[in-house]
Amino acid sequence: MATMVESKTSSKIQFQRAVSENSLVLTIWGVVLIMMIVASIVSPDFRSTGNMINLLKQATIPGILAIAQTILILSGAIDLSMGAVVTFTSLITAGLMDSREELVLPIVVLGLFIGTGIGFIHGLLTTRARLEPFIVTLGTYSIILGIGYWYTTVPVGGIASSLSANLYYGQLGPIPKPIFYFVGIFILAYIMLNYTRFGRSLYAVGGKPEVARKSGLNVDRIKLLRFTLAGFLVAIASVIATARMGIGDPLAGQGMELDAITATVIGGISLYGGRGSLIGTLAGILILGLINNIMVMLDVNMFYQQLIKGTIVLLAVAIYKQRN
Amino acid sequence: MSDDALELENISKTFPGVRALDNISFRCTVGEIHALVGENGAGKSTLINIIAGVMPPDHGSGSMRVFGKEVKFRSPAEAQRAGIGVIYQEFNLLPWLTVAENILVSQLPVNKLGLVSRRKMAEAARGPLSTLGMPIDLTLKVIDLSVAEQQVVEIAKALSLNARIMIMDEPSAVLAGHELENLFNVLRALKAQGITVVYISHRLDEIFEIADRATVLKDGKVMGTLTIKEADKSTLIRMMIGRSLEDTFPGSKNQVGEAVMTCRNLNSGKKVRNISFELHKGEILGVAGLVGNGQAELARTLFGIDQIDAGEIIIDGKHIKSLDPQTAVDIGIGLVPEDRKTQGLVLSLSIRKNITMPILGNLTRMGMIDNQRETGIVNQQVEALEIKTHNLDQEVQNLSGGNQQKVVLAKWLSTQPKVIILDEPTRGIDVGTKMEMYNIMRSLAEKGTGILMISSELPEILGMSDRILVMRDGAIAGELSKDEATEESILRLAIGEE
Repeated sequence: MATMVESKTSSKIQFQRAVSENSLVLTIWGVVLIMMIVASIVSPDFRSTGNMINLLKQATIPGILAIAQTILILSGAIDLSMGAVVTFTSLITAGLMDSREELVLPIVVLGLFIGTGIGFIHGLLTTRARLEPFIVTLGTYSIILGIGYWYTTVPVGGIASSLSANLYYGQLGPIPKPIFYFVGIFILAYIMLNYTRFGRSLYAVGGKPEVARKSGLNVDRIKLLRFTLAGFLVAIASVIATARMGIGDPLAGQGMELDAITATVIGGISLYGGRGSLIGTLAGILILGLINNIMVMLDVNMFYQQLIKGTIVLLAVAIYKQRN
Repeated sequence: MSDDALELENISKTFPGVRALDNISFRCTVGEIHALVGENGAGKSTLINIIAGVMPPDHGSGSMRVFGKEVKFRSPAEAQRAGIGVIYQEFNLLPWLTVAENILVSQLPVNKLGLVSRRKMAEAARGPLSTLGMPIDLTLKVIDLSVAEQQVVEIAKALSLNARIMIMDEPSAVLAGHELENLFNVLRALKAQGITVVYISHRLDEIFEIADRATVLKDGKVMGTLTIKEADKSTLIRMMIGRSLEDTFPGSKNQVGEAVMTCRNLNSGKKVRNISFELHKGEILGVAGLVGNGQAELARTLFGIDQIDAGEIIIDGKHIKSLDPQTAVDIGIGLVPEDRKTQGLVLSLSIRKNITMPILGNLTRMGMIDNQRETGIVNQQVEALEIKTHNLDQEVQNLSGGNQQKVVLAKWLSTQPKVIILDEPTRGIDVGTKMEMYNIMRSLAEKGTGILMISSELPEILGMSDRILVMRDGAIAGELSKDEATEESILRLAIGEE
């Protein structure tokens, strides 16, 4: 876009600029809108308030993971171990709890501790040992699952019913509780990324760690913190997922890390880091949720879901390539 | 005519705002070693790029002939087919492949099954290496070779592609002293094969030892061609610098104050050796020298990127013996690095986010960035430096080179540094912006900032500096006052010519 003389900036020009500078995010939200319109036409049930609430509720766990993944990818990292952490947390907490009501608090704390601790370890391995995030989390993915399956390979234990009821199945007014977690975490993450020093530093580190360091930022500390924070979000998602299942499920988190990456990529976050917006990721999460929702409505075979997901990823990335 | 290997007539090349080559005519006879000399920015690299087919000359300007045949290269591959080989300073080798595989990379010989034949490969690769008189084990991986050996592999690769004209861009710059003789032997071997060599170098000693003729480039023009046997060094130096210093630099009215930064016997790695100097308030201290003599490393050391091995920096009465960039920013040092794209800016981020990166700490209240104050500071810098943009949130990658350089400068000015280090502050920016940069530097100095300006452009050094340090081999070869300094006195110190 050409530089223009500032003297007469009409609101029309401002609007055009806003559109052209945010064209990526607008495009992706356009896709969300189109999907919703098409779905409303094909299936009247889709429009129902109940279905909309359900859509959001189901987006909670993948959504929180995608937010964590966005924080990491934006800052030049990635986490392949998320699904393994969800599974591991589910097995250990449900196994230890064995449906005992008196263990609710310690088990929730333990669940949060597992994911956060693993995130912290990722941070240490990537900063102290200078290993690549991809390699580190590929390794921990396997180790965590290994330990989990060593503990059990079949569904195990149980979550106290009060925990499941309060955490996942409860409602505040007409709205299921998980939606509040999702929306709350999204708003906090959005503020963090856009209005805080830490958020700004994440973009800088993801864009060019050398320059960030030469600008006086403590790059190693930022890298350690981002993994710990992402680990905490994964921990929250793990505890919610466990509450939802009610038992320790060896397949609880299967493939979740990939869905989180998919949503992030569809949302226009550059895998090279430093560029993208959480608003895009939100669209990515909704698109994945919509595919699922529409397919279920239309009673289409699950295999098509995979096919469509993959196609959308490739299309999205191809479009983004053109724009940059 | 027929014994000319390479002939350029009236070739020009214009970049936005710069005429890099101005009616260049240049010819090399078959089998000669022809040196191409000139200061940084004289146009040597552009000339090589045109000969090598990397970029075309200006449309309709002049002509180029290779062995008498008129050529218009559209790609490096075409130049290669016409018999031109280029040895750049950065080698184009595949480090994990063997010597033989590298030499034959684009023409690997195959056997009847269509598989790569090791036997044929060894035969084919041995040819060019023995031509050069350099026996290198063909089965070694390139990564295990010395730089000098890698250079030989690069030359052998060009030979295997039937290069008849070999263009070498400062081949000696990457070599250690004792490796130089080997390079000369290689050059003589090439000459014996009737291959024409265009040899680019700063180092006059080398040119007098190996070249048959030398062409001097300056400000994009050919100053003349000398036959080395009949020339002497001072003639060559005079041709290289004989420019009238244009009256383009803002005059210095500086009141130089007390020392703001003092270095004592600073050492870092191999390229910063025993550096001592004082930088005063309001002073522009120029650091001159030929490229690669430790200037960039000095900047890195002063900003805490490279570690201080010995010696100290004194700033504000604090004796600093070890430094990291974070501390450097805190104590009031700023660095505008040489390569702004890779070291100075995060291209994917906006003007705003780049400028305030070093001062986020000051802009933050309870973890939140004070948006209004940030906008105020950024606006102030954008206006003061006249950065041309419609929007503070524009990504810096969409800005022109000159504006990018201003953003890097704005970033450091926002920290209100006591000392600012400028490494090649005007490289690659157009003349107009250069003038603006000079004015900005002057007014900064007048406000009391100490400026350390590293530059390989002598006019800039002479025009801007209140005092000049000349570096050679990582040490300070001499200090010149503004009155003593001439292009000749600086070049003599830089080259080591007494």
